[in-house]
Amino acid sequence: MTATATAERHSVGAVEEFEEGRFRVFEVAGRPIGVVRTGEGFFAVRNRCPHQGAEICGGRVSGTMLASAPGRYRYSDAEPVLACPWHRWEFRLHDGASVGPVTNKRLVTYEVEVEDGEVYVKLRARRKG
Amino acid sequence: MGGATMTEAEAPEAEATRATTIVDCDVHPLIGDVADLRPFMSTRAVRRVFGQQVQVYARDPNRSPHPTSGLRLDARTPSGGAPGSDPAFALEQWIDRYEIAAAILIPVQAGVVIPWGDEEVGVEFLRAMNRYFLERWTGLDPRFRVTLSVSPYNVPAAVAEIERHADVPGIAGVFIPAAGVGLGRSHYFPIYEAAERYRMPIVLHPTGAEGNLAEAPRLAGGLPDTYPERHAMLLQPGQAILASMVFAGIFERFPSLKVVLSEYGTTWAAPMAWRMDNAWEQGEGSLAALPLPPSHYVNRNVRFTTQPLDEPPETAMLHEFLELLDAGRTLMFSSDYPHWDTDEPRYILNSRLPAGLRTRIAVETARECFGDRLGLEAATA
Repeated sequence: MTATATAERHSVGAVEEFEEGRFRVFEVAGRPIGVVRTGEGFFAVRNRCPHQGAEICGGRVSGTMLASAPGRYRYSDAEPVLACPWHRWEFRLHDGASVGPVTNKRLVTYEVEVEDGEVYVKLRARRKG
Repeated sequence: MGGATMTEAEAPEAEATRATTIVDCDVHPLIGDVADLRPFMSTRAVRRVFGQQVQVYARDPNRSPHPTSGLRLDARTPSGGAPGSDPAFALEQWIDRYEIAAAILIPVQAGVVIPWGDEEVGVEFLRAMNRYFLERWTGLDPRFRVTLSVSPYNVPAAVAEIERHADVPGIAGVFIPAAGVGLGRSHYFPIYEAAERYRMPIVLHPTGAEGNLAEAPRLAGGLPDTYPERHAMLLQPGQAILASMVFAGIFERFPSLKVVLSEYGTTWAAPMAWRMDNAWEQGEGSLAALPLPPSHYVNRNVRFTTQPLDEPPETAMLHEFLELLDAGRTLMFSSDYPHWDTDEPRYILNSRLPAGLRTRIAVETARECFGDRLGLEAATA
């Protein structure tokens, strides 16, 4: 899939084309970016796990067990996480931070805007020139 | 800016490995439905296994399964089959994509073939597995190199299977799914003798049955309660195998035999060898009967594989352990594809291992261990 560009905002399709919890992966300005619709809204991330580079958008989007105390498992779906299909490292879709954390590395995230039923990924200006 | 297809961070990594041939010493093929073995079995065996339901194959051996699946979630086959069950898809997703020159296939399903219901049929079941992988996998692409699954219980049958395949192209070595009997016991000598004669390395690898099946290796401290507990302790059978084989003098009896300890970990091996040396120095009788210290045999005859690579907080710490292990001589790259903890070759070879050892670990040590059984010469001729 190829995104349609308008300035730094790239259209990736209509809202109804997104099934909840299932990533669609686009090439946006040369970057592989996955976009997903959840109960908390739309999220966009780089389709590359910061651990070993797996295509992370093939992983599972859900809530997770929060760190609490030995023998206690506290499930939370307050904010969705993405689990890598390889080693199951989890990253928060909101900011790409590792759950746990098991790593200091972050999943690259992008801002998403929805306007008039259309979904847009916004690329940050990462480089000059 | 334009539409570059590769990210800036990826490019140098990919470039560094492109020049290096990679042998992947641990890839797991799977028979998605064991009924597919029927064409490779006698009518009698089919009737016994699939008709009379004689228990020679433990369908669900694992009392502590991985909480989110022991397999890569993105490796289900295009037709929805279990990861590892479609050789064409494994070629596309792994071998071609990562430019693997040869992949050692280790069929861990052999670890749950427990033959007591009908021993002859159990042996036939393993033989059918070997024929299946040779035909369906190596027959599709010669980069797939099969380790022959043999019964640890029926040694004459194991030897016959090795002899039958001595000159069959595509055989890399012999996989003995470890039983609860020390691998140094004289019971196994005929298998080692045959393996040495035909230059087939003995490949050993956890099967998932550890601590689960009565006949499988037990874990110290009793049955583990959870998957992480069991997984963290998988080095135990590796240590037991090493001590048993070394102190039994296997490598003195069979000096050119190679044993590959795959997926049992690596950072424990050097301290373990020192510990064995220490016992050897002080020993009498059977210990002193070894003419050379245990570490000598470990270094000469035993090879280890990288996955799962222990990941200390600093890469330099890992490098120190690798130096102690003489990793340039003893360590071979492995991915464990398509299991959940698959290691990505570029990440491991370029980002985690010392640059000076890259080609040793990626290909050269494997070439020394498996020789022309890797088929690399034929591929480049």
